Amino acid sequence: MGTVRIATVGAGVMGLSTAVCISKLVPRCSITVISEQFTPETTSDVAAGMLIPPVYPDTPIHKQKQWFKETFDHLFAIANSAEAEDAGVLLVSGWQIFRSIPTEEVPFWADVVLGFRKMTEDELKKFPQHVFGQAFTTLKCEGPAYLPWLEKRLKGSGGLILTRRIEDLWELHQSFDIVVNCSGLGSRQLAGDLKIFPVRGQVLKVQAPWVKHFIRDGSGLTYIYPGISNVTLGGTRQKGDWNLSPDAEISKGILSRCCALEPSLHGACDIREKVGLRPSRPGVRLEKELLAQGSRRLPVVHHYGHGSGGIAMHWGTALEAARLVSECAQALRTPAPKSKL
Amino acid sequence: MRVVVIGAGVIGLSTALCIHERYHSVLQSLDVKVYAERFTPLTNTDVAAGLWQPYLSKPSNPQEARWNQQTFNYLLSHIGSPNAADMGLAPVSGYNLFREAVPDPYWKDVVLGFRKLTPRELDMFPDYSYGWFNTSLILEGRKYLQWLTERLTERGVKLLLRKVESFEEVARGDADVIINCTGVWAGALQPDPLLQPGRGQIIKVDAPWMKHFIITHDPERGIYKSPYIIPGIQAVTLGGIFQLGNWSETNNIQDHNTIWEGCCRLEPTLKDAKIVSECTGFRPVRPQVRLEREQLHVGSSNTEVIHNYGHGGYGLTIHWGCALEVAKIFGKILEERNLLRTPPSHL
Repeated sequence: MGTVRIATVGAGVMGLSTAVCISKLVPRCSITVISEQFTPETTSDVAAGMLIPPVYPDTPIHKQKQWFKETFDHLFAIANSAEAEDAGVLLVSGWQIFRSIPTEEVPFWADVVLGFRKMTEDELKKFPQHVFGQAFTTLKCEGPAYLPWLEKRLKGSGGLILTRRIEDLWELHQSFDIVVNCSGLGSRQLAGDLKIFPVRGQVLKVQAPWVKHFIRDGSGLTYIYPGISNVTLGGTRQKGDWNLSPDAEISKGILSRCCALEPSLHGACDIREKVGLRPSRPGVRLEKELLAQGSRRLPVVHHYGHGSGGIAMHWGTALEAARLVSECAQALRTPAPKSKL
Repeated sequence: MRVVVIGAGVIGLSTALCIHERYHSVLQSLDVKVYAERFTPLTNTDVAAGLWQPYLSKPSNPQEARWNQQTFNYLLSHIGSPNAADMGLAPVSGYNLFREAVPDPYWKDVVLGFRKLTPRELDMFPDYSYGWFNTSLILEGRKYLQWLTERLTERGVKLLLRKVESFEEVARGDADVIINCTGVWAGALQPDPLLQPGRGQIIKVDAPWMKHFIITHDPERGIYKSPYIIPGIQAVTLGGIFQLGNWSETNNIQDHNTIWEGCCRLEPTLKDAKIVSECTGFRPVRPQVRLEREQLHVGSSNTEVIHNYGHGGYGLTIHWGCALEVAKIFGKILEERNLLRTPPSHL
C-alpha cells in the first residue's frame, strides 16, 4: 500500500488537532478533515478554553494527568512564542474559590499548572462568601483563533478540508483507508454510542478589559475567564438539553452570579450570548474499532467524548489517537494472510 | 479658609480631594481651588503606567513605607465597588525578575500572595534566574485623574488653568494655605537642588493577551533602566528608560529602540503588537518626598505652605498616604488658628 488515505470526521478542536498530529506521526499518508461545521460554528468556539481539567470517572487519573500535561506543555510553548496571538493562547492567573473546604484540597493537576498554592487570608477577603481557595497560573486557548491556526498548519503539511455532513461512516469506505471519528455528539448517530449526551452550557462574552484574572467557583457553575478580546462569563450545566438558543433568564442569572464575585462587571458592555453542547461521556472514547459489513472492513479510531475538558485535554488525546492511527496504518501496510487489527 | 493647591497631577488632585473630604463639614467655610498649568492628559501622571509598586530598597524616610501601605489599602478597599474600573483601578498580577537571588522587598506583605517564582515559571524568562510573583493593583493615571476631577467638581472645587510665578502672588490674592504639588517643576517656585527630573519614555501597545506585569531589574543599571511591561485597562505600557537630569520632552528614537528591543526580547509575543502611542514624562526624583510645612511672610499676614512633591517614580504608589499626611498638617494649622468647629474625628 502506498499512501494511506485518512479521513477525520469533525473539525472542532479534536478533529483538527488529531489531523495535525497524524500528519507529523504517520509517514506517507493523506489527511482529509470532513465536517459539517467549521470554526467559528463549532462547540470548541464557544468554550472559554481554560486549562482547568474536569475529572472523568471512567478514566484512570494517571492517564488524565498525562493528557493534561501534554496539552499544557504544548500550549505553554506556543504562549511563550511569537505565535501566541495568532494561535489564541495566553497565560492567565487567578483563583478557584470554594464555599466549603473541598475534600481534595490539591487536585491531580496542581503541579502541571504554574505556581499552584492555597490562597492567603488576605486574598480570600475579596470573596466573603468563600472560605477556601487555590491560586495558580494556567493557560487559555481560544477556539476562534486556535482552530484557524490548526487549519493553517494542516494545510501547510498538505492536509485537505472538506465541508460535508456524514450520515454514516461507511460513506467514507471507498475513498479512505482509515477513519478517525472526532464527531463529538455526532457519535450518537455515527457510532451508535448512547453513552454520549449533551451538557448544555450557556455563556456570555462581554467587554470588560480591566479584568485580568480568572475567578472560578469550585462548583464549576460560575466563572469569569478573561481572554484576548473579551471576557467569558458562565455558566450552566444542563444535562440532556439539546437547545442551542440562548435563554434570556439564564443570561440574567449568569451576569448576576458573576457580578457577585466581581462587582466591577456591572460596567461590562457589548454582552453576547452563546450556547455550546458539551459532548459528555463517563470517559473519553479513545480506541480502535474495525467496522465490518460483509467482506468490507473499515478501520476506525474513535476520539470523542471529552465533555467539559476538550481544550484542556485535546493535545494529549490527539497524540494518542494519532498513535492508534499509526498502528492501523502499519497493519494495513503489513502484508499478512490474517491481518491483525 | 481659602486653600489653593498648585498642581493637577495625582498629588495635587488627590490632596485637594482628601482635604475637602475631611474638612468641608467641620469648617465654617472652606474654599479649595486648584491652579495648574497642565491638566490631564498633559501631566506626568498621565504618562505613568500606574502599577502600585514601591522601589525595592527601604526608603530613607520610614514614613514613606507607611504612606505606600496606606495607599495600597485605600485602593484595595475600592476593589469590589462597581466603580473601580471608572477610577482606572484593577487588580493585576505579575513577575519581578532578577539575575541573581535578592532579599524580599519590605512591601511583600502589603501586596497579595507574594511568593518566589518556581523553576518552570523562570523557564519563561531565560535571561533571568530569580524572581517574585504577586498580585498588586493598576491605577491608570489618566483615568484616575479624570475620576478625581469629577469628584472635585462635584464638591465645588474649582480647577483653574493658571501659571503661578510665585507663592507670594498666590498668597497675596487668594490663599490662606497653599499646597505645593508642583512635582518636577517645584524648583521654579523655590529652588530645590535635591529635586531632579528622571526622564522616562514609554510605548503603549495593543497586546490584550498580556494579563501580567513583567518587571526586570538590573542592579548595576538602576531602577526603571531595565525593561518593564505593564498591562493597563486598554493598552500595555512598555518602558525601561530613566535619565536623571534630562529635560527633553520629545520622544527619542534611541530610547524607543531600547524599549522595543528590551521588551520584545523579554516577551517575544510582543513582536507584532501594534503601537498605539509613545510619550515622555519626568519623574520628580528626590532622595525623599518633600512633605513639610513652611510659613511665608507676605505683607502683614502669614501664609502657610505645605509642600508635597518629589515622589519620583512612585507617585501613584504613595499618593494617598501623602494626601492623608498633608490633611493632618492642615488640621494642625486649623487648630492653631482656632478654626475648627469640632475636632476632626477621623484622622
